[in-house]
Amino acid sequence: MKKCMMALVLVALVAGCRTPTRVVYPGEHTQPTVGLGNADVKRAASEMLQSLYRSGRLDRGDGQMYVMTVGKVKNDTQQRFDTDILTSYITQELMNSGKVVVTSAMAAGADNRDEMIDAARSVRNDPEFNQATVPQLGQKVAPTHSIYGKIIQQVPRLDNGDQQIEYYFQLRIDDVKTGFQWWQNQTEIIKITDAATPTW
Amino acid sequence: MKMNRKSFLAAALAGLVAGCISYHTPPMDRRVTIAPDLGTAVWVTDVRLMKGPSSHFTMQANVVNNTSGVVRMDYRVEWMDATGTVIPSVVSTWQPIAAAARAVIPLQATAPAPEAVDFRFYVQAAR
Repeated sequence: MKKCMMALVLVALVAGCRTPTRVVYPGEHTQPTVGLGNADVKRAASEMLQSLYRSGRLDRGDGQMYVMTVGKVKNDTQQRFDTDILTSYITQELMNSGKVVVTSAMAAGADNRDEMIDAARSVRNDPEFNQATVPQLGQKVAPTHSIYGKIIQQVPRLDNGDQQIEYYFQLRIDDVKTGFQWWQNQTEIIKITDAATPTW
Repeated sequence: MKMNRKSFLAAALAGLVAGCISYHTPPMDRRVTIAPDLGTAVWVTDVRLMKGPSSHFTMQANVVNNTSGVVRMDYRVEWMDATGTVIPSVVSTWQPIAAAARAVIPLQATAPAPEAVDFRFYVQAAR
């Protein structure tokens, strides 16, 4: 009986320590993370977009839109992180600005290419399809600009033995025709944690 | 007449003294909201809206730390079109900032669209 009581108390104690699952509401502050969290990516995207808007590069003047392709964004950190989370924030905003259209016909990563674009062309001369609705030769539009970059992580030790985790978000946009770099930005996010915390 | 002269001098002196007293009141701008959790620790001054080489507006403001310690806070800028409708954007996410004792921190934020012509600046203690 005594043993049972002790077991029950232990179970109750362990259960009491568990964090109940809850939804983090939009606009609510998330807890700080050692690794890259949603707040970090949003902050980096925000600073990069503001830099691009402020530069005046998007103001074309002739009413035409830039055609952008998503190049490679390298994850050079110790963490498993899908860089599409960052590029998605950027391209979504650029499309909402009405100044940029993003092509899915050409992209560095398969996830940013739409296989259906070529599939729709593979039915040329197929009597099952109304040929007036099938894309014809020369209808794809080549990109005018390409966005690509890198996320870097560095972990220098502090004098007291703690770790300083430095994340560098680098994005560049190139003019595809000339090969010139058209815009670039680097945003840093720096965190400090104790020596024992793994940074991956 | 002599009495009147004395009264006049006293009144002039009182006026001079009153003119020298400065009231330490925070500057108010209808576009700025400072959360109650910051109290009077922080002021937001010199709020401006301008256009540089871009068709997008940029706002600029100084965040003044009135205390003798570091103040950690978060700020965000929400942009609105001519009708007052908020333009949702990732640029309006909360950004952390720390101000050293008695420091003045200049901040800039750029609108996500050329249609954004007005803004609201929010600042609160770091969560």
